[in-house]
This record gives sequence, C-alpha cells and structure tokens, in this order.
Amino acid sequence: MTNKGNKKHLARIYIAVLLLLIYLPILVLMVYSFTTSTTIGAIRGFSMGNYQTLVQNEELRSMIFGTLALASGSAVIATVLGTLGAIGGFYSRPLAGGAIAALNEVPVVNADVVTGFSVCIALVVVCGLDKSTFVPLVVGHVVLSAPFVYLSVIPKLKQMDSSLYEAAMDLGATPTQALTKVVLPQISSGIVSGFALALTLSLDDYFIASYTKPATFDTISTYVVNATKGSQTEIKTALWALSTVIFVVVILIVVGMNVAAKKKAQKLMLSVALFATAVTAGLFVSPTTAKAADDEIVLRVCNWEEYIDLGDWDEEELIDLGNGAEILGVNPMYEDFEQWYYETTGQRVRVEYSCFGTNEDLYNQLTLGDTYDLVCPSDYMLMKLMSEGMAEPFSEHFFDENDENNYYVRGVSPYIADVFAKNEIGGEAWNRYAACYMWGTTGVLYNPEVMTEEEASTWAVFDNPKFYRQLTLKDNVRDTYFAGLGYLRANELTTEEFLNDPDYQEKLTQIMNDVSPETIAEVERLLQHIMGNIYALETDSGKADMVTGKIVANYQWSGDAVYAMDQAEEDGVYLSYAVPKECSNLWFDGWMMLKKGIAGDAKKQAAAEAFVNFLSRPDNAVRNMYYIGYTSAIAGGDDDTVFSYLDWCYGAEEDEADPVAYPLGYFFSGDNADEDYIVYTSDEQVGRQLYTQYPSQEIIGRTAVMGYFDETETKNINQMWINIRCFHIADVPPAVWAFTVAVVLVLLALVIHQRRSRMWYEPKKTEK
Amino acid sequence: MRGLHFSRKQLAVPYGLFLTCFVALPLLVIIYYAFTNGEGHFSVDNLVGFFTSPNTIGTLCYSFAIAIVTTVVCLLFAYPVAYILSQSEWKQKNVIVVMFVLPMWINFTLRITALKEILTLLEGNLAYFPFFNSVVGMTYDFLPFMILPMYTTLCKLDHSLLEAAADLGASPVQIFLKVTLPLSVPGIISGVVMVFLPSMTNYVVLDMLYNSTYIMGSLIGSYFSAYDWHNGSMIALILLLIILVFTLVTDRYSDDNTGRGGALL
Repeated sequence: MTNKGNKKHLARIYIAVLLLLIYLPILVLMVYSFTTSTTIGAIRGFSMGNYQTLVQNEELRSMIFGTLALASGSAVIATVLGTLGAIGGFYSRPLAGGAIAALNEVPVVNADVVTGFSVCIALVVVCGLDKSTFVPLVVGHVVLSAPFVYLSVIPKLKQMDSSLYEAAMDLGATPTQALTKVVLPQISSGIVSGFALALTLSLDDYFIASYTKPATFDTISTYVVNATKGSQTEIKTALWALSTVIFVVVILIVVGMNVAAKKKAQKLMLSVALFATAVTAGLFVSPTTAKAADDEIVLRVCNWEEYIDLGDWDEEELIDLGNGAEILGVNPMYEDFEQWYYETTGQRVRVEYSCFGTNEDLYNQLTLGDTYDLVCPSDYMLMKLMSEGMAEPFSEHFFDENDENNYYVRGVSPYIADVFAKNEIGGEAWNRYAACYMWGTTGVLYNPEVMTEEEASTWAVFDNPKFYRQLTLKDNVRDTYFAGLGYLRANELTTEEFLNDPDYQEKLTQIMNDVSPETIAEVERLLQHIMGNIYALETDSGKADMVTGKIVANYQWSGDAVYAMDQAEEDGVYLSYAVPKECSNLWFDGWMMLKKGIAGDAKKQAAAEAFVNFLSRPDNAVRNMYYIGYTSAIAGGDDDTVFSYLDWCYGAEEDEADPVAYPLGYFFSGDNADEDYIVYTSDEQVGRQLYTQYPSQEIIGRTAVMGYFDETETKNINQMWINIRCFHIADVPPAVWAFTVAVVLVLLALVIHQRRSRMWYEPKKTEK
Repeated sequence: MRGLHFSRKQLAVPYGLFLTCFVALPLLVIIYYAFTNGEGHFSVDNLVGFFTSPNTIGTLCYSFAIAIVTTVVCLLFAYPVAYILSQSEWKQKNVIVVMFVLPMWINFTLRITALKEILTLLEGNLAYFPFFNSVVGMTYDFLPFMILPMYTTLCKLDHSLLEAAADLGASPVQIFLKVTLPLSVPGIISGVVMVFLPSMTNYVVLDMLYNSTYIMGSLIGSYFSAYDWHNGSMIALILLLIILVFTLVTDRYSDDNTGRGGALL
C-alpha cells in the first residue's frame, strides 16, 4: 500500500517537475515583462510600460490581431475541409480514398520550409496570385493544418459502427440527416481535437508565413525573426507582455475546462470557432474597404526594418537645437509625408509602408511576386537592380536645385554626391537611379574594459584566442567575406609602401572586391578556422549580447553600433567602436524607384521623388538619425540643422577644460579644413558615438566599397558560405562512428528477434 | 447500396481538389526545379552533386544525429508522462495533457528567446555546447507532439489484458515489457514521426540558440534565399523521400486507429 502510495507521489512529482520546466521560460518572460529591461539578462526597474505598449501600439495590435485571425480562420477552413475529406475519403472506393490519404501525407512529412516555399512558388509565380490578397498565406496555413484534421478524424470513423449510418437511412433519414445526426456526433471529438491542433500549428508557425505573407503584414514569429537592422525594442519587449497575457488566458482556459463538463467544453470550442470565422471575415473585408479613392495615389514603399522614424516620442525627447529648430517625432514619418504632400501639392497620397530583413530577402520578394514603387537596398543590390534593368531613373526635375522642395539635391553631402556620381554600373552613374539615404562603415563594436583599442582595430581580432568564444560575426556572406578577406590580406594592406601608393584607394577597392575562385578558397579556409574561435553568427542579437556581457566584440554596422552604445549606456555599460586598421567596408543604402511599380505613371513618380525629398529635409534627417542611430547622407546645404544636431548631441560642455576638435568639413562642405564644420567634443567621445556615426576623413581614406558580383561570382561566394556552415563528414569523431555502428547492429538484432517471435506468436500468418 | 454511398463520397471532392491544387501542384513545381538547371534544361547534376559533396552528406548526418537524439530524449521524457496520465484515475488528466500542449500557443520564437537566457545562465557560454543546446531547444519545442499520440494509444489499452497477464503470473516488469510496451508501439511511432522530421529541418531553433552549423532545413532555406531554387528543391525532394521511406517502413507497425498527432480532448 505504501509502495503504491509512493509510486503515486513519484508520478505526481514527475509530472509537476516536467510542467514546471516547460513553463519556466514563459515565467522568465513574465518576470521581464514587468521591468524596463530591453534585453533579458539585464534587470532594470519595475514598470508596466510593456503592457501600455501592448494596448496602445497600433503596429503591435494589428500584428497580434492578424496572427490570431490567421490562426483561427485557417483552422476553421482546415477543419471543414479536413473533416469532409476524411468522411468522403473513408467511404470512397479504395483508389480515390488512397489517393487522398497519400496526398494528405505529403504536407505531414514535408519540411515546413519546403511547404512554404513550394506553395509560394506554385501560387505566386506559376498562378500569378498576389500575396497581398492574403490568399497564399491562408492557403499555406490550411495546407499545414488540414492534413492533421484529416488524421484526427479518420480513426474516429474507423471506430464508428458502420451499420449506424445505414440504420439511420433505413429508418428514413436523408443522407444529410444521417450525416449530421449520426456520423458527426460520433466523430465530434476527432473534429474538435483536429481543430485545436490546427489552431496550435498555425500559432506556432514561422516558415510558412515567412514565404507566403504579404509584405505589409507580419505575424508575431516573422516579426521576431526578421527584425534585423536596429530592431525596435519597444515592440520586442511588449511581446514578453503578450506572452504573459497568453499564459494567463491559457490558465483560465485550463481552469474553465476543469469546471465545465466535457460537453460544455466542446460547445465552448464551437463558439470559439464561430468567433474566429467572424474575425477572419473581418480580415478579408478590411483591406477591400480601405480601397483607394479615385484621386489618391498609393505609394508602395519598402524599407529596412526599423529604418525610419516611427514617431511617438516622449515630450522630454524634444530636440532643441542651437539654430532655433525644435524637432519632435509625433507621427510615423510616412504619415507626415502624406500630410505634407497634400499641403504642398493638393494631391492625396497614401503610403503603403513595408519592411524587409536583408537585401537578399528584398530581391527574393521582388522575384516572388511583390511589387513596390520605392525601395531602399544597399549599394550592391542597387547595382544589381540597375544592371538588371529593374530601376526607374529619376526625372530631370529631381535634380533641379532651384526648386526649394528638392531637399535631396540641395542638401546631400558633397562627399556622398561625389561617390554617387563617380561610381558607375553599366556606364551609368549611381545617382541617376539612386538617392543615398544612410551610409556608414563596418567595424568592431567592443567592450573597452576587456579589450584594448589596438586589439579591436584589426580584422584579426576574430581569430584572437584571448577572446575564445566571445566574438560574433555577421550571419551574411558579404559582410563576413569582407572581414575574412581583410584578415587574409592584412599584411599586404598595412605595409608603408602600399599605404603610400598613389593609387592606394583604387588598389584597395580592387583587393577587397577580389572574388576569384583561388581567393574564395583561401578565405573559406580562413573563415572555417575562425568559426572555431567565435561565439556565433548573428544579425541582430549581437547588440543585446554586448550589453549582457556574453560577448566582448561584435562585427557591426556603424549605425547599429551607435544604437547599441546608446542602449548600453542606459545599463551602465560603455562600449566603443573601432574601424580595423587594414580597411573597412564603406556602404550606402539608397532609395530607388522600380520600373515595374511606377509603370510610367508620372503622378506616382512625382510622389515617389517627393518622398525621397521629404526624408532629405534636414529636420527629418535629424529625426531619422535620432531614432535609428544611422548616419544620414544629408548635410543640409544652406541649412545648418544637421550640424547643429551633432553639436547638440556631442558638443563639449562649456566648462570642458580641453575639448577635442573633430573636423567634419569633408562631409558638410567638401573641404575638411572648413572651420565652420568642426565639432568640439569631450575627450570621452573618442572612439564612441560621434566617431562611429561620422567617420573622420582619415578613416574614410581606408575604406572600400564592395561592389556587385556577377551571377557566377555570387554563386561562388554563396557556395563558399554554405560550405563553411555545413558539417563536414570528416569531422565526425571515431567514437561517434563506433557508437552509431553499435546502435545499428542492436536495432537490426532487435528487428530480427521480433520477426522470429512474431512468427511464433502468429503461426496462422506464416501458414498462409 | 451504391446510391447510399454516393452522397458521402462526394464530400471528399472539395478536399480532393484542395489537395490537388495546393499539395500536388506545389510538389510538381519542386520536382520540376529539382531536375532542371539554370537554363531550364533537364539535369541530374543536382542529384549527383548532393551525394558526392562531403558537405551535404555531412549535413545530412549531422541532421540525423540531432534528430535521432532529440527523438530519443523526447521519447524518454514523454513516455512516462503518457503512461502515468493514461493509467491514473485523476479527474483532471485531460487538463494536464492540454497543459503540455498550450505553451505552443506562445510562438516558439518567443519561448526559445527565453530558453536561451536560461541556458546561458546554466552554461556560462552557449558556444561551448551547440549540439546539446540544439537538442534541448528542439526537445522543448516538440515534446507535446510526442506526448499526444502516445497518450491516445495508451488510453485505449485494454486493462483486462494487463490483469490477465498478472493472473498468469507475470511480474510488473514483465507485464510492462511484454504487454504494455508492444501495445504502445503505434503511438510511439506516430510520435517519432512527428518529432523526427521537424528536428531535421527547424533551423530557426538552431539559429536562435547560436548553433551556426547547418541542418537540412537551413541548407534548403539558404539555397532558396541564394536564388538557387534548383539545388534547394533537389535537397527538399531527397529529404522528402528519406522521410517517406521511413514512414512506409514503420507504417506496418502502426495501428490504424491512432491519428497522427493524436486526440487533444
């Protein structure tokens, strides 16, 4: 008796411990949701701010609503289809039923990434459906979940007494009656569990949505994974609050189920399903009701995630500059543009603003059926789009300096203008097709308490055994290839002779754009070796890991480095940024109109150009810089707002004993000796935000633009990247081989043994 | 008789059409890309390439290793849960089963973010144990898929069989090994299929836990995003075939009465 009691206790304890482990991560999210922390690991004070954001933030609300609507809607469709399919298939002739069963198995055994991709290709590329209709997304989720409904219903049909249906018919029921009154109640538990499973699969999905979702829509998972360049912390932390809310709802459901009888619970499920249908209907109705008025231009803009001021600043964030300008971001910048454009031209315009995660994602979106009017990729992707004839050139009016609304040509930095005029692709200068938005360098963000400036100022830092497993590189081939190449050629690049070469700049660019098969092979070997020394490859998490101290150095884009420094300061951590002495990658992100989107519509083109100009207005450039941390290409021309902003941010206090002069004339006026453009800053700024945001002319001197590679070259470096990431069969330790062989032998022996015993137990079968 | 069945058969038409349009057609697209090259000509280079490159074969092995270990760990954790719950007379056992599933309503990307911090706290530096971390992450994510079908199967276990075995003098251990375990094989197999496949392909778990080694899913995904649809499709097809063979082999052991995924309520 006591033994039995003990066993019972043990069982209870086991279940309780396992449940606790499963809910532990959610509890961690709960705890952090009540703090002001921006990263897990760095605890700050208590706050309900995340819950406020959860209720108030429009973008977040639509994301949550969309995810729920998608899950419930697709689950309802999947349940209806799957149940009908199961009943029909079960009573069909073996051939038809077998075909359904076999096809049903395909999505079950297919990898989600393949299902998502193939549905996308079939619907969007082959059938020409538009992703923005939400049809591919809903279809994708139904494909994901309907087979599981089918599989939940089929066993119930098999268990059912087949004579029941016939009995009902004999007693005079119509087939419909027999179905609804006899069959459905018998299999209802299978339907309900199928529905619940469908709902769960859809809520937990990432892969299907990432391939089939419309560009303007994000589910919770695609938002969490795809947010790369400078993600907006507010939404990220508010998602912790969301997890807490879901958790509470879950607990309520569990308690509710405990109280309610089983039948009632099923009724509850039914009402949930009905509610879900209504919500989905709303999802489909709302985009159509918001159709454009006749005189309204719809401008489809696609930008990097979190790469524009989204407004909603606190009052105390007001920027009051020395030149009298006062800047405060209230609304998202694209909404301000709609207002401004109406006021200046009398033309209504609506901006359909969406985001991409990487240049490759954008390009894939363009090939997989999304159409945009204005996009903002990086230099090499601009070049690729230009060379493939996808870009629409700017109109002559765009370059007219006499129009006071042409803020871009009037305000662009002479340095940037020069770069965009000098660089060519296919015989045409960049500036004909692209207007620079943000620019910067790549370098090493490091923690000066652990690493010296000298250690950080070289690409060799990633191979430094002193920081074993405490360094991160970028999870994209081009950035990491550049770092590898810089390290490979370090000796050559730092000789006095090379540095003083009259053609230094040209030669440097040539070396850093070397993608010959031999060089790729050398870089591959080197990177493979470096992979053994680093902590991870990342795109976004590196900043948070610097703050929490998991890593001490992080390969970073200058703008993200500024953002990370600002964030870290709030946690009392002071980070620095170093540009490697060998060379750095000078990059530009620019606005480009697309032929397919503009499609010869002059009104639309005018609006797109005005959008670029509006972003280039000095006060708007400052808003964006303040919000995202990157460096605007706008110097301001006659307007000194941008320079005043630098002074406001980084200028030395008046009582500063020994301010450091930091000349930026090269950027603002084209002459670095220009005394008007020297920032007098404090000693502490050396190596920090100002230096990161605006590299000195000396640093610019050792940067190279990484150009666009042709198809074969791109294929080669992509293959190199895959090779580095793959597991090499030769790396398997002998012990693992031995173990594997042993396991296989044991399994074989078991199977043989089982066969023999089967023969013994079931002699009838063998006799046959 | 024929007339009676007619109306029921027709019910299969919508789902049949749906499967044809959105499952068969996409599958054909994948097959088309797998066997063509960049110029659109028929080619088996991708197929040959897969089996001759030490990288892809290595990745296949690595994915197998992760998937096998994850599946075994899931099995070891889940079987006792399913067994205890199905055999217990607790009134709320259905509620407990649901509690194991409901964390999935919070998207795995959010849960893994938190798990990462817990693992860091325990290990100090995640980069030292990439394989272990991946297995933990996957186990955490897929455990419900293992519990559900096994629980469904074990619930249907005929208690008179156990009593008969006991009456015939079998010890509890013997009863478990000779009666309970063989009868739960169908549930185990559906659970294994449900866990094994996603653990070969769900690369976001690995990415988020900083395991930068590719598994099959990441390999396919990276070919897709590098605009090389042909190689990506071929690898997807090979993976599909491997899993299909695996399910066919195990199919004869599975009991038709168990739905893959199992019953929730």
